[in-house]
Amino acid sequence: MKKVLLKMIDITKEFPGVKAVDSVDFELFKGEIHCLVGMNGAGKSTFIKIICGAYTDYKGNLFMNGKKVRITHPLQATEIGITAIQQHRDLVPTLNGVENIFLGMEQNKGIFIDEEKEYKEARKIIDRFDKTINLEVPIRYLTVAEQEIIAIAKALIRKHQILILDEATAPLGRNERDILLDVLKELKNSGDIGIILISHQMEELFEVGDRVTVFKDGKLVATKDINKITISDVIKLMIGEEERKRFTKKKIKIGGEILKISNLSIHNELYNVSMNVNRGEIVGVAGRIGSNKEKIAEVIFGLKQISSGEIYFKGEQLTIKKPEDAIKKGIGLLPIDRRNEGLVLCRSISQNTILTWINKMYKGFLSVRCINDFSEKYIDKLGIKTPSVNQRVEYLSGGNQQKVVMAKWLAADVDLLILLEPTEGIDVKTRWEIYQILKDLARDGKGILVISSDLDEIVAISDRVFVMRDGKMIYEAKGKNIIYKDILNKVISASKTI
Amino acid sequence: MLNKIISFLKSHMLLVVYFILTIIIIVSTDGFFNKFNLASILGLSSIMGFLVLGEAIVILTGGIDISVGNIASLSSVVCAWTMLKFNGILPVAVIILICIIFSLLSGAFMGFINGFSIAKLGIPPIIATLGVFSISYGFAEYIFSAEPTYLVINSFSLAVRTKFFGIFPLSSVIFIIFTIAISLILKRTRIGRHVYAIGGSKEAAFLSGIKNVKILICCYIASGVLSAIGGLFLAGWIRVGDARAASGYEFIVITAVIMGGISLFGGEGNIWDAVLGILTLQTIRKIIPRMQISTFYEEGIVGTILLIAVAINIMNLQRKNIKLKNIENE
Repeated sequence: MKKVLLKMIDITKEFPGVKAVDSVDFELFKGEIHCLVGMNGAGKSTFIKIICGAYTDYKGNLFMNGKKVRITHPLQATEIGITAIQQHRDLVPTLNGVENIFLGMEQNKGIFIDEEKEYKEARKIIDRFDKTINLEVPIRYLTVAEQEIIAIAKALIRKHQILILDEATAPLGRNERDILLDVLKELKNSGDIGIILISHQMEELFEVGDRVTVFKDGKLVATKDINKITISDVIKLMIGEEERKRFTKKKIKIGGEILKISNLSIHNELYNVSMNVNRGEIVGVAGRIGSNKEKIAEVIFGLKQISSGEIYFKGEQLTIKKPEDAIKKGIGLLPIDRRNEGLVLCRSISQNTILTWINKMYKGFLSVRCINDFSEKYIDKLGIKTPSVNQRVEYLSGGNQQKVVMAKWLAADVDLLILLEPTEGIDVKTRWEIYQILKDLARDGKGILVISSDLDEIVAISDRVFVMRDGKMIYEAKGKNIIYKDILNKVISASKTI
Repeated sequence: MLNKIISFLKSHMLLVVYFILTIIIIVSTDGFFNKFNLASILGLSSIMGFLVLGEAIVILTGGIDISVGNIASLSSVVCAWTMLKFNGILPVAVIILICIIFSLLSGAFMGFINGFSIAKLGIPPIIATLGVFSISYGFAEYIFSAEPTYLVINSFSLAVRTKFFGIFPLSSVIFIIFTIAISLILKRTRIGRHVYAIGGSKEAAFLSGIKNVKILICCYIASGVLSAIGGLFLAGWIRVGDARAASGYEFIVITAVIMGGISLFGGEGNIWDAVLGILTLQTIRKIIPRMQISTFYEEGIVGTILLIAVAINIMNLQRKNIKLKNIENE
């Protein structure tokens, strides 16, 4: 019988009008990886925040190692041995690895910090996972995976017993992700630590997890041993109904060429990249992080200047110096960082929607009703879940925010839509809604270019797939030849040559 | 070894700039660096240097303090006032001690208002310190009805104006001691590392158990006290307590800190570079009249230097980001 590390009984947390977490009982064992899954808004983030001490006005009891505790402060969570790695918010980018690991518990020798001792201890822990990490440069020079390993080391040096990883693997490429998952396995096997893992990547949970707990509408639906349940069962529990695993591909007539790039190069970043997108077609570009696949989008949208090569849009050669040029021609971009680059967070849905449209239509004064009617149309069309068009976008869920960005570009009536990591951090159900929207747009004759690290996504929706490696286009597949395993191989083989 | 020197110079570009500036001055002027000029540069540099130290600490936390100049002026007025009040009642040495205590207390108090409003009430640093900027000025004017007042105890000025070897005023010697101490505190002690951590990411620092509020308040108090020390030396140097004694210093001081390459966004930088910054600026300010340039241009020149320094500061940051991306790709 495994030892219970954390026990939570009858936890309830209410927000005005809604029970975000509803009478949840939860147990975490020593030496297990416990996965939490659920749609956005299912309550798992709120639940985690209760454990981390961010919400203090909850009902119910919490027991750590059999002792009753009430966490009233994020610091208190740290003190009793809980670390949450929430997309590396807990590291200081300007400090180096050693300083970060020992932050708040510096080792003194007299009045000064004993830097040598700190370095040795940090190195010892880090070497368990990865001997190549440079601990002497500010961590903002390190890769995301390396930063996360440092965050884990920081927890270990504090002898923390509970590690919470909230979407920690989302920003990682496959190779980096494997490193992190290996780290987690190693930690699990050492047996002292309980890990709570939250992720939208089912495969990942099934690869390392021991048990999985499913949240739905604030309630804990089920806790199961991972080897006694399948991915589709988990998804079924999450969304409450059977959902298709793969997108059904309806035949869409492929029209003329809308975008063509040939022999595109950027010094040290892209090498002779050629590809094209036709009307009515969804083209996917896969590649791990560091393959520079996103540079293609940056070039087409005028965020980066090319060294050589040509871009043709609707048959005519283009020189794009800044995003404004691209928008005028009819090109839209959904950036990776949709919160900061895609939206004006503190403004309403309608005001975000008209951002691109305003230049075209603006004559004298803007009519509020006209704007609202206009936005209303897109809210219906894209199925944005919101009380009204006046809702500030910062209060929308990630999926709905992404839909607002899409609305913005649809309003501008673009012909080519480029999407970077379109569903990162978005729950499964909304994902499929976005895929459906993309399909509909393609059917309307628009060209869609999806650049993503999520292979499931690429395979599920693309009519054509390109794979990039180190700034070079190395593979193209079309229609029936798009096979998950082949593409995965191409992407992974790329990382092995590094 | 050579590589080490080159990389050292690369990260301390100002050293190279100052070296070149010195050579240009030596070649183009006839005996500019005489004892008198050197003492004057070192004296003013070190007086402003105290303000620079305070400002550097604050900017390292990601904030900014525009009240340093007026806190220094206030400190000079408090000093003159204390002397006037106690003159003849107490022995001179005791009066000077009381002067120092009162002045430092006034600086600490103003610094505390800054720190409290920023760390506890969440007022943006530029606004909070702008308020204190005005408060200290108003208070200093109130004390003497806006009249500059001579320091009645002469020995204080005499002590401040003592020059070691004819070129090192007392303030420069004490300033160096302070700089060494603060540099050690910032780089080698727990509280120093916490200052850097807060500058790098307030949230991460907080989640690591660092007492952000306490440390921020301490930093602003330190800035106030250091400014007050600068004000005391200034009062001794010009023999006057004046509400306008150090007005406009904040501008020079901030310029110096940014010239020294301390990141405007906090968390990165080295106070020695900021010290070099004030030395460079003072040399330039001193050379302006010598170059037959009207002193009316001085402010304009310092302003231009500020803008250039900020531009370089931000460019450096961008270059670092590009370097970061390259490292990722390798």
